[in-house]
Order: sequence, then C-alpha cells, then structure tokens
Amino acid sequence: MARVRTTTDTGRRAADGAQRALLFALFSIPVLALAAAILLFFLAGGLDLSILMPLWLVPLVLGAAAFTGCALVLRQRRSTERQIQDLRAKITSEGDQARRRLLRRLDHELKNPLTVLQAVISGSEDQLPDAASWGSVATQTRRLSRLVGDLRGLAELEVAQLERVQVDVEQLLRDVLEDTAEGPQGRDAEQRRISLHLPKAPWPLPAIEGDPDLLRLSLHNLLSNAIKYSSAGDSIEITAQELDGSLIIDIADTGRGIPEEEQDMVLEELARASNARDMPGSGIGLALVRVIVARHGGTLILRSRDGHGTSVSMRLPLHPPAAA
Amino acid sequence: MTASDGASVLLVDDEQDILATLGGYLRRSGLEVHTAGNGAEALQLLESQPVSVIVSDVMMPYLDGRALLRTLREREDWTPVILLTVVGEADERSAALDEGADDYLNKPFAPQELLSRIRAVLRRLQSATQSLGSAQVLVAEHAGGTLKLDRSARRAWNSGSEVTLTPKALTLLEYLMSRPGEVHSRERLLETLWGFEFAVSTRAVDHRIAEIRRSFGDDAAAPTLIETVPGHGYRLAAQVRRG
Repeated sequence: MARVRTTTDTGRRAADGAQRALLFALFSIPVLALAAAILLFFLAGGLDLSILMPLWLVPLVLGAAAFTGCALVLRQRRSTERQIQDLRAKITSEGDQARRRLLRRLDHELKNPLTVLQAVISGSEDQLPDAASWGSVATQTRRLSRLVGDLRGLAELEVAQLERVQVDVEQLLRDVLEDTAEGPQGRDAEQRRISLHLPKAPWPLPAIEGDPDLLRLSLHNLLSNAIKYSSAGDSIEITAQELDGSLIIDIADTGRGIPEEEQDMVLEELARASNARDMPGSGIGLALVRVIVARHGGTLILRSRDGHGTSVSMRLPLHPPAAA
Repeated sequence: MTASDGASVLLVDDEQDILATLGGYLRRSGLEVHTAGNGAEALQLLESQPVSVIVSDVMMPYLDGRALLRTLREREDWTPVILLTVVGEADERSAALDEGADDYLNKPFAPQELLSRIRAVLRRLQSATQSLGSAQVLVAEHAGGTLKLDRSARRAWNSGSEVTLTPKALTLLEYLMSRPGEVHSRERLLETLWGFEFAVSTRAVDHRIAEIRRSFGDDAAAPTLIETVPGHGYRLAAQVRRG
C-alpha cells in the first residue's frame, strides 16, 4: 500500500516538473514575440529608443514581468492543490465518521433481537419454550430478516443497472399520489391538505431520462415521510419545475421537522431523527432516496425547521451522464 | 400425491447448520435430501447420485454456485438449479441463457418458500413446459395475436410486428413466459427480477404488467395473456411453446 503511494507521488512530482517547464515555455512565447515586435517597430521606424528606455533594458523588463507572472501562477496552483488535499482529507474523515455511525446503528439494531433470541434459548435448555417465547422468537426473526432485506435492497440499488427510459414526471407524481391514497397510509393522507403544483407555462414539465420504478419508489418514500411526520390538518405541497437542464421536485410539509444538528445524518442508512422514535420505521427510506437520486446523477437537498416542517428537493438532470 | 413425492434434492452450502436445518425441513416435507459443502463436492456426488433438483448457495469455497451451474451446463447436464443469490446479480438473471438458473431465492428466506419453489421446478419438469427454460424463442397465442419473444436478442413481436418494451417489462415477460400457468406474487417477482423488495415498491410490478398488456393488446378486464390472480399475483394464462 505504502509503496504504491510512493510510486504515485514520484510519478506526480515528475509530471508536475514537466508541466511547470511547459508553463514557463508557453509563457515566454508571447513575451518574446512582443519584445521582438516592439524591437522591429522601433528599428524600422528609426526612432530614438532611448526616449523610453535604453534598448538593452527592454528584454530585461519584459523578462522580469514574465517571471513574475509565472511565479504568481505557480503560487496560485500550489495553494489550490493544498485546498484540494485538505478537502480530500475532510471527505475521508467524514466518510470514516459515517461508517462508524452506521456500525453503531447496526449494533443497536442487532442487539435487541439477539438478546431476545438468547434469552429464549437459555430458558429452553431443559424444556421447550412456551407459546409467548416462540412468539417473541418469531417477531425478532422477522425483524432481523427485514433489516437484512432492507440493507440488501440498498446495496442492490447501489450497483443495479438503471433502466434509462423517458419518464413522464407529471404522470409519475399522479401515480405516487394515487398509490399512497390506496395504500396503508390512505386514511392519514386524507387528513392532510395535499396539493400538487405543476407548471403549465411557459411549457409543461419535460420528460426526464431515468428508471421509472426507482424514481417512483423515491417519490413515494418522500411523500410517505411527509404524511408520517405531520398531523391531521397539516399541509403537504408537491411542486416541480425545470431549471437549467434539471428538474427539481420538491415535497414540503408543515409537520414536526427535524432538529438542525440531525439534518445531515437522517440521509444515512438506518439513521432516524431523535424526534421520530415514536413512529415505526427502519431508517432506510431517505437513504434509499439519496442513493436513487445519486444514481441518476442528481442531488438531494433537505431543509427543515424543528417544529415547523420539512422540505426535501430532488434535483435531477434531464439527461443524466451515462456513468451516473 | 404432489410433484415432490419421492423426488430428490441436492442442497449445496458451506454452512453446516444450514444443511442440517434446511435439509431436515425438506426431508420432513417428503423429499430425499443429499448435501454437499461446496460446488466441487456437489459435482463429485452427482456422478454417482443424480438428483431431481439442485439448490445451491453462491458464495462457497473451492467451487462457487455460479461455477457449479456453469460446469453442469457445459457437461450438458440440465438438472434444474435454484440459486441462493447475492447482492448485485439481479441484472444477470435473465441475460445468461446458457448458464441461467431455473429460479433464484435471496437469503434469508422462509423454508416454505424454498419448498414451494422446488415444487414449482419439479412440476415444470413433469409438464410439457420443461423444455421452455432452455428455449431461444418462446411463442404464445392470445386473443390479441401471436406473441413471439427472442430471448437472447431481447426482442418481441406481436403477430409479426415488433413491439418495443422497456427492459424491465421484457425481463418480466420472459420470466412469466418460461413459467406459464404458475402464479407469481408481486413480492416474489420484485425480489427475483428487481433484486429488492420494499413494501412500497410492489406497484412497480403492476405498472410493468400494464405496459405488457397495453403493448400486446391484452384486455385487463378479460386477459388472455397475463391473468391477475386476486390476492396472489400474476399468471401467464396463454399456452406457450418453443418457437
């Protein structure tokens, strides 16, 4: 590992040296040309150059200007490189922290079911467990299965080949609303003031290129969260607009919101806000949305105010890059 | 008398406890069960002991499940194989005809689910549909015309004119056509063909079924191609033959 890095560093230093020489050569070409042009102009014009400065001073002044220019460019480059290095270190450390948080959450999710299973097994060494204990074993086994299924699904989404077809977002949003109304949250949905605002002017929403099943799943998750974390009478607004080659779909609610310090964290796997523990949930829904949006080359923006509401916006490129 | 009476199954997994508990369950269900700890052991055992169906894990030492399947097919051994798959393989499920498994199941699963899949595979073996699994072209007659599906070209026609389907709809159609008459739940289809099964995503299957029906002129109210089995899922209702 260390050797690989050394080789890479040596390689990069050599490349940097070559680049620097090239930069210097490039910088000298217009300077020399300018100097030659001035020289020719004055020689041909037969003017007395000493009015401005002695002739021998001209290349020296221009050379000094070119040298200063090169030095400035190189200094700027070094400082940019340092910034990139710092940023890289920050990203690595944030990645490490996210991984540690995930492991902690996994530990939390696994230990309760396992404690129950161990208790039943320990109590059943001499006799068969009673019906209540078997019930607990069944419940906790289901819980573990669901956890593995969710994590597996998330892992599958990270690598699965996306379908790329033209998706009619308006139709998609109407489908999601209909599915929600007919689903297990239908009764709650009826008690929210849900509105859908889609532009008619200057033109209706364009289709986007993507995987309709995954986009539907992510919009469904966002709407489901908005319903889940709001109460009867709250408003939920769904809007969509086209902007700079992207489509922005926003689902906002006047629900309970997310505490500010937890807003980054709720997008992570198995993470749940501290004020969400009274509601059932696996902490996988928003992580799924994040993965799906990223796979489409888009970004997810979450804005929330504790006690006031939450807005989640998906910004999706109309034509995602092939490698996204 | 069910399809599985007297049938034999070879269970391949490197985890002894899985072989013991799952093997015990299948035995109690009336199957003759043989076990192997990896693909190499399985191949050795198959030389002296042919079985009706093989259930194999994918990740195993020496010879993994995929290599086992490939080796069998290279030897022209068409014993049905049910693969217990790993993450990231959903896309390959319909693609590789020559090394394709007969069915797929994700761990963890309820043993009843495995048993029902073994039975489905055995029923397919006994019926005329047994040869559909390896067929290049599948043909189904329905009220809206004659559906022809070329599996490796991934193209479909209805009464001679080409029909363009989304890739997922095509995969779904292929899966249903090679298992005609069987009822598949939305959850099972999702898990097998999409690779994930989230409670809210079962609608994805309905949308693709609607796409197939629309594309082939199959009336959802009185379908002759794909039938909705209320409370269960979908079934390919038309007769399917090799093309």
